[in-house]
Amino acid sequence: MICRWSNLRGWLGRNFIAPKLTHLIIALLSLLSFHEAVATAEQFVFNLPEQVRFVVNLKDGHLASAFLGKWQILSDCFDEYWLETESGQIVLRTDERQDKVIAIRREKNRLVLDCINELLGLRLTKIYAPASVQKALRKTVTVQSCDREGALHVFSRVRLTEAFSKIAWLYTPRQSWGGRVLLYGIREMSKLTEPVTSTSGWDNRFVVAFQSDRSVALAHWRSLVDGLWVPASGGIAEWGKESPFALTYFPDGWRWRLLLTVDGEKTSASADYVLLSGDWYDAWEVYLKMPELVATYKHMETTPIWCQQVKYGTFWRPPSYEWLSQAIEKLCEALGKDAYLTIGVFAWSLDGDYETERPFLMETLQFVLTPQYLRQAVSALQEQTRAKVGLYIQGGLIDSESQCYREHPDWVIRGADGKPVASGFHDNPIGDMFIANPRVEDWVKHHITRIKAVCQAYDCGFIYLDGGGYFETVDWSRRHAINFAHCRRLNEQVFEAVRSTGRERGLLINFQNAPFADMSWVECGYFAPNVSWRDTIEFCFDTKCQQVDQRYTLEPLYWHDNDRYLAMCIAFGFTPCGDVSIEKPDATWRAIEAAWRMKKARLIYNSSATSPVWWRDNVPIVTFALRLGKEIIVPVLNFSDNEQIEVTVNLGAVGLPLDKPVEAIIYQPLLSAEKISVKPTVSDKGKLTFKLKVIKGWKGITLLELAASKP
Amino acid sequence: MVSSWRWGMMAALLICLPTLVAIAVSQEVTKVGRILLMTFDGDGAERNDFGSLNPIDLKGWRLTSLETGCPTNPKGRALDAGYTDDPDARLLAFSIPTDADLKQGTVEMWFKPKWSMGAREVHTLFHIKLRGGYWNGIWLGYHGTIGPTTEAFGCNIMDGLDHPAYVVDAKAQLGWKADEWHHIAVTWTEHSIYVFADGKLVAQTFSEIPLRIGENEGVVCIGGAFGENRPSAGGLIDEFRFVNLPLYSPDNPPEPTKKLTAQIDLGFAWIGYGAKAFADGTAEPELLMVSVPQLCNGQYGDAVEVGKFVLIQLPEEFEVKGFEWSRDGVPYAGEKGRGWAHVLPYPRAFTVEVSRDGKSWEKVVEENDFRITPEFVAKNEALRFRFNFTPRLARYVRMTLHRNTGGPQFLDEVAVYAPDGRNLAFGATAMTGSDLKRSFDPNFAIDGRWGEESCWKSATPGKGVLTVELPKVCEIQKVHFSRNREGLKQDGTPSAGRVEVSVDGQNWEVVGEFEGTQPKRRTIAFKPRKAKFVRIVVTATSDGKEAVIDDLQVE
Repeated sequence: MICRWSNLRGWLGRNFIAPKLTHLIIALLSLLSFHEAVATAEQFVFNLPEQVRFVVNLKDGHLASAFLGKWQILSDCFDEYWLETESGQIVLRTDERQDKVIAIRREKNRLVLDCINELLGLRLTKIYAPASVQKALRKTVTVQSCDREGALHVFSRVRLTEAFSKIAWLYTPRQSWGGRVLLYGIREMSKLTEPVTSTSGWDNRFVVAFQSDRSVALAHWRSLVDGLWVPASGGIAEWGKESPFALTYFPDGWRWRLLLTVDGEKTSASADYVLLSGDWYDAWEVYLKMPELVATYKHMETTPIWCQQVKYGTFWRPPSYEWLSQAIEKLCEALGKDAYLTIGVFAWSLDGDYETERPFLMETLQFVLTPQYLRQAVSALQEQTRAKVGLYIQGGLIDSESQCYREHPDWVIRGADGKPVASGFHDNPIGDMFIANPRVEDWVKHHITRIKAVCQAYDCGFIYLDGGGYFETVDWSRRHAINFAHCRRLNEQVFEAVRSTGRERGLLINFQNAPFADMSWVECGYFAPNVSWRDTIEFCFDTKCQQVDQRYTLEPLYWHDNDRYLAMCIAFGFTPCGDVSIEKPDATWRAIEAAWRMKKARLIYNSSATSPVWWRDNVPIVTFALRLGKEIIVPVLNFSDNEQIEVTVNLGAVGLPLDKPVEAIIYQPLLSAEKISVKPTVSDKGKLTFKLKVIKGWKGITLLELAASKP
Repeated sequence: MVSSWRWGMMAALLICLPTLVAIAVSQEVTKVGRILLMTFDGDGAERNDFGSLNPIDLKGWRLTSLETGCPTNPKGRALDAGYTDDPDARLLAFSIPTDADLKQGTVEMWFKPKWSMGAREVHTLFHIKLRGGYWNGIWLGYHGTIGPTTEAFGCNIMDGLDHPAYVVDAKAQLGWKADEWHHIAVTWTEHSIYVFADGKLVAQTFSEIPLRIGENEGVVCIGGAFGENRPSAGGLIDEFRFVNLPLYSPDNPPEPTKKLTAQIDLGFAWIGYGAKAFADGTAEPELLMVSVPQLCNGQYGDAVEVGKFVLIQLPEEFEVKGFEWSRDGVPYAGEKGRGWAHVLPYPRAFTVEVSRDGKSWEKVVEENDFRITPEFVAKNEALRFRFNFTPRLARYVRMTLHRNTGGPQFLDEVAVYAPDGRNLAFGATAMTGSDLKRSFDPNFAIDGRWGEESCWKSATPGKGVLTVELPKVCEIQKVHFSRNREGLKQDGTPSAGRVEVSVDGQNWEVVGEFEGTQPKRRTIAFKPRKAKFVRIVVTATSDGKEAVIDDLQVE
C-alpha cells in the first residue's frame, strides 16, 4: 500500500496538481515513511509488505529503484521509446530521461503521472500502483498521442544493481522456436558481457532474475494490454523471421517491448515488478495466482468433462474412413471406460474452415470434398461416443487462393508497400497464406459465423483452432497496431461461438494454455530430435508451469523418438497421440496409463523439493516433484553415464509429514510393469536420499513415488 | 501465428500403378531368362531360378506311377492335376518374387485331359495371378462355358482387360479327346500372345497397346488356379517349363518331340550363357513413349502417370473444337458423386496443339497459370477441365505439360471434342512421353527379349556394326537376327549388310550377306565353321535411320 495516503486523500485528490508542489508534498510524505531510501525531493516511495519498496522518480516518471529488505535490486530503469517508419527504419530512439512529468494525480492507491516527451511529441500517462500480486509494483504506460507518424515501440527496461547483477541468474520461459540466438532457459548474468537480442520471432515478456540460493528474486512480466490480462509470450515477427524488438539481455538487465502503437493511437500496457524470496519456480507460482489471470480462465468452469478425460489422441485424413470406425471402437475399449479419444481432422478448406453448403477444395489441395461426405465421415468416426472429432480451423490465416481473399483482399495485414504480409506458411502448394487482421470486424464476423456453421453442420466433438496465438504487428494499410488484446478478444469470441453451438462442444487452441480454450496443444518443433534434452526438459517443465489450469489436456503431436516422447508424456502428464491401432508394445500401453495417471498430478513450485536439479546442481539428471492426491511423485531422468544415481526429496518442501515414516516405490514404465519398493539410504533433517538405478536416457524414465505410511 | 499444423504435407496415396514405372528402362538381364522346370520324376522342380525347388505345399500334390509320362518321357511319372478324384490332392504351386519380370514369357507342357473338348467345364492348366483386381493374371486353360454353345482353349492375359488368345469353338477346332497327350506352348510379349498345340500355332492375339504385366501375387500355379486348394486341370501334366522369355513365334514354333531340358535353346549368343555384345556405336538413350490407353478408355478413376506430353492419335482426321483433361474425373458431387476427388498434382502450365500429319502443329490452348478455384469446385460435380477453341481439322492432339503443382503428374482421362460434342478421343491411341529414357545397350540384342524395350540401336544413320563375343569358340552355322521379332516396328530395319565371323576378333570372314526390308527374323545360314566372334555389319537401313536389332541368335 502507498504509505499514509489516507491522511492526505482530500488534499491530493484533485486531478491536476502543479508538479513542483506535488513533488514537494510527495517527497515530504515519503520522508515521513522511509528514513533510508528517499534521498531527494523528487522521488516517491511505495512501501509494500515484507520490506519491499519501490521508488519512482517524479521528474521523468521512471522507476528509480526497488528494495527487498536491505537488498537493492533495481536501479534507474528507464523505459525506451523507438520510432519506426513505414519502411522499417528506426529513426528515433529515446528514453524516459527525456520525459517530463507535467502533472501528478493520485487515484486511490495509484500514482498517476502525466508526461510528455518533446522529442517525439509524445503524451503519455504512467500509473504506478501495487500490483495484484503481493510484493509487486505495476507500472502502466498509456500512450495518449504522438505527434510523429509511424510505429512507436515502448520498451520496459530493467536495470539491476551492480551487486545483484553480479550474482543473479536469469530465467526466461523457453520457446523452442528456431533462431540463431535464443534467450531462453537459465543463464548466469555475469557471463553477459554485451547486449544480446533474441533472434526468435517468438518473444517473452517474462524474465526472472534470481539467486541460486533462493534468497532473492525479481520477476518482471507484462500483465495487461489495454487493460486486459494477456499471455506473456507471443509472436512479434512473421514466422521464422527476426525482430529487433525482441527480448534483449544486457550485462545489467534486460528489455522487452511493452507496447506498440501507430501514429500515437491510444493504447496501454502494464509491467509488473515482483520481488520475492525464491527462484523462477516461485515466480511462476506467483504469476499463476495473479487475479487477472485467474479471472481470465474463469471460462474453464464450463469446460466439458470429456475434455479433461482425453487419454489418447489420433488423427484422420480423408478420404476413406470406413475402416477407422471399427479401429476406434477397439481403441476406446482398450483405453478404458472413462477415457476419451480425440481424432484430429485436417481437411479444412481453402477458406480456412469447412464449407457447409458446397463442395470445397482442401487447403492442401489434395482433395475436393463434399460437406455430405465429410458429415458422414465425422458421424462414423464419432459413432463411439467417447471418440471426439476435432475439425481443424485455420485460425488467423487467409489463403491467397481462397474466395475469401479474392473477395476481401483488405482483410489481411499489409506492409507499407501495400502487399499482404505472408505468414511463411504454404499449406497450399500454389499459394500464400496471409495473416488476417483481427481488428477488422468484418473478417472477425465472417470467421465467427463460419465456425458456428461448421459446428452446426458437422456436429464435431471439438474445434481445433490453429492460429489462436498472440502476436504484435502493424497493418500499414489500415495503420493498425495489432496487439495481444486484439488476439485475446478474437479467441474469446471464437470460444463463445463454439460453446453457443453446444455445451459439450470443446475448443482446442493451438497455443500453449491459451485462455478461452478447453484443450491446448504443444506442437511439433519443440520436440524435434535436434532439440537437446536440456531444452526439451526445461521447455516441458515450463509448459507444466504455464499450465494455468490443470484441467487442460496437452497433447504433443509427434513421436520423433518414441522413448523420448513417451517419457515426456509420463513425466508431465501429456496425452500421448499416435496411430489408432491397439497393437502397441506393452511399454507403450504402460506409458499411456502412466501419463493418464500423471495428468492429475500437480507440480510443486519449489526447486528445493528435490535434488539434483540439473540447471542448479550442474548434473545431467532431471528431478522435480508433483503431488498426486496424498502421494508425491518424483520423475527422474538420468542423462549421465552412471546408472547409479542419488535422488533426494525434501519432505517439508513437498508437503509430506516429517514425523511419519514414508513408503517409497519406483516404477519404470518403459522398462517393466514392476513396481519396486525402495528404502532411503540417508534420512537427514527432513530429507530422504535414495540410491536408484536409472538407465541413461529417456527410456529410463523413473517415477519415484512417496507417501506417508498408513498407521 | 502459432505454429500451424505441419505434416510436411502428407504424401498422396497412389491409387494407380504408374505405367511408366513398370517399364524397365535400365534392364537387368539377371531378371530375365529364369526357368522353372519340372519333369515330375523327382520330388520337386529340377530347376527353379525364381526361388525354391520345393513347391509351396510340399506333400499335397500328386504324382502318377512310373510309365505314365508323356510321349517324350513315357517311362516317367506325371503330375496328377485332378486326373483322379483325390479329395486330399492339393494344387502344385511355387513361390516366385512378386516383382519377377513377367512382361515376356513362355510356358510349355504336355497335357492329358480326362475330359474331352466340348465339356461344359473350366480347367486351369497354368495361372499366375497378377496384382490388381480379379481381372489380372496370366491364365492358360480350357474354358468350356465361354459361350452358350462354344468352348475355348488358350491363354488369356488380363491386365484389367481381357487379352485372350483362344481357340474358340475348341471342340471343332482342336477336338481333343480324353486321355490323349497334347503338347501345349504359349509365348507372350508386351504385345502378343501365341498359343501352340502340338507344335502348331492355334491361336494368337495382338495388342497395339502394351499389356500391363506388373507385379504378381508371388505364386506360380501348375494345374490349377491361384486361390484354389485343389488342382482343376482335370488331367495329367508332364514336362513342364516356364521361362520369362519369349521362346516361340509363328516362324519358330516349338518342337513337341524335343525333350525339355534346363537349358534354353537360344543358341550360343545368349547373354545367359555368357555371351557379350558390343558395337561400333550405340545411339544415345531416347525418351520413352508409352501407350496410356487409360487416358482414352472412357473410364474415370484409373489415372496414370504421364510424362512431359500426352499425344492422342485419332482414328482419322476430324474437325475438333475442344480438349478436356482430368486428374481425377470421378464425380465428387451430384447423384453419382463419390464425395471426394483427387486434386493434386495438377498441371499449372500447359499447351494443347493439334496437327493433321503429326509433324506440323498448331497451338490451340495455352495456360501459364492454371488454377483450380473454390468457385469451380462449388459449381461443378467433377474435376474435368475443358478448353474450347476454334474448330479445325486434326488427327493428332498433343498436350504438353510445362509445370505442375509438384511431383509426378497423373491424368485420368483426356477428351477431344467434335463440334457436335462427341468425344473423338474415346478409344483413340494415347501415348505419353516422359523423362524416362530407353537405352540401346548392345547386350539387349542377345538378352532373349524382343521388342522396343530391349534392342540395340546404332549411333550412325544407315549403318552400324553389332558384334557378339561367344563364351567360347563354337562351331556355328546360322545367324538369326531381327529388327523386331514380331514385325511391329520397321524403322531402322537393316536392309543391306553382311554377317562376319572370327575366331580371334581380328581376322574376319564374311559368311553371308543380306538384303531386304523384312523386320522380322532373318536367317543367314552358312557352312559350319569355328568362331568366337560374330558380327552383323549393317551397311544400309530401310529408311536411312540408325540400325536396330532386337534379337540376335547364333546356332
